[in-house]
Amino acid sequence: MRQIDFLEVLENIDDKYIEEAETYKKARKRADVRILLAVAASLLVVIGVAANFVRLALKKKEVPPTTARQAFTEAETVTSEMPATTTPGFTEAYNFEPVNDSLGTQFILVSVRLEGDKANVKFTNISDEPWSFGEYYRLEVLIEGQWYYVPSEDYAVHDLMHEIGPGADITMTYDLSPFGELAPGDYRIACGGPTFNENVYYAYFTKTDDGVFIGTDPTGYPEGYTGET
Amino acid sequence: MEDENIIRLYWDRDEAAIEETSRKYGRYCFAIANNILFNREDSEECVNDTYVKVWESIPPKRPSIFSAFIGKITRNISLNRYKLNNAEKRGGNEMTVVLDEVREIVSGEPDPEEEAIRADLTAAVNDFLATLSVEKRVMFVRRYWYADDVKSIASRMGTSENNISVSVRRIRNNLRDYLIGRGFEL
Repeated sequence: MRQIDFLEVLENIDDKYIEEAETYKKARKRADVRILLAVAASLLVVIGVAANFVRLALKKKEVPPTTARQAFTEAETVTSEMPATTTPGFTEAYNFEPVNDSLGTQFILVSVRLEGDKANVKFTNISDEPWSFGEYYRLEVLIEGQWYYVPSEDYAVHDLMHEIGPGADITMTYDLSPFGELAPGDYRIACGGPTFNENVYYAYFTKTDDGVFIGTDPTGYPEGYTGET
Repeated sequence: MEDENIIRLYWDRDEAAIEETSRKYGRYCFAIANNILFNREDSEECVNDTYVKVWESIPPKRPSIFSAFIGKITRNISLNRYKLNNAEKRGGNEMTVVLDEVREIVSGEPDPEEEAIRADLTAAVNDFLATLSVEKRVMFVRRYWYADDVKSIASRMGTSENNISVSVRRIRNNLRDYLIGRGFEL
């Protein structure tokens, strides 16, 4: 069948779908939010600061935890969609759908390597379209099957969007020092979104009991994984 | 004026019907035509032809959703004009892009029995659309019925162009699988 004939097939789709598509109004006015974000970003660029400070929680614990489990024994579980950031300690991380309706994990591959307190997250765009991403990030830790935000000191990110073309990759370096000394455990960096809460990609890594960081390759397997068990 | 009253004017053979139609749906029809033709003059002609066609169709027809009824006529006329304009050349407009994308659903080969299966295909597409969420369905219809560009859909939906591009690509693939699963040879 020729393409234009298929478009003619579409011509007779149900009237209600044509009307629906014409009258559709999105409930949430995200477009307005995006405009505000764009204006905010422009202002930040103009003043040369381009930083947006966000407090994820109160100050980090004075005494670094010895293990992640000990650290989070008193973790507070918050069942609402977004974390209660004013509560000391740890709050349950909102488990975003993988890459909310963005290019999707099958098109954006994420890998991470740790160097000291820097996490180098490599995004590879294997789609045939440009991919836009932001610099927001936060750190989460896995405790008994639940992800929790890791409390941090204040830290800054550039409120800017970047874009890489089809087939291109880029490595973003995220500073993990605001999260203090990390206890052994499984972690992930939620990153890549235009805000903290949109189109989040996860870069997974592990800190072993020996203090060694094991990142992940683009398929999500630990570095060095050969497929052998 | 309410659609019901406009339709009544047509039934009364009152030429004010066309004026009211133009006032209420002129821009809507022009947008549909211009998305396909990307030419102001051709689009305006198609819109005018639409009014004539509606005048000839009502009565005896009494459309339940007038906007969809008139939109379908505009789209049909515009597609025919597009085929006429592009019989030997490829255009550089949004319609060309839409057609390229639709190639992922159909093979591009003419099918002698096409007419016979067209109605079944439309029914199957309607069934498929019913399985989609409203958002996904709107994206698909805006892209392949209205031939909106990705940027316009993203703006309408309040989301990113990436989101729209990826979503419609997935819907296309799913539609192809769905139709093949229903026994259609595409």
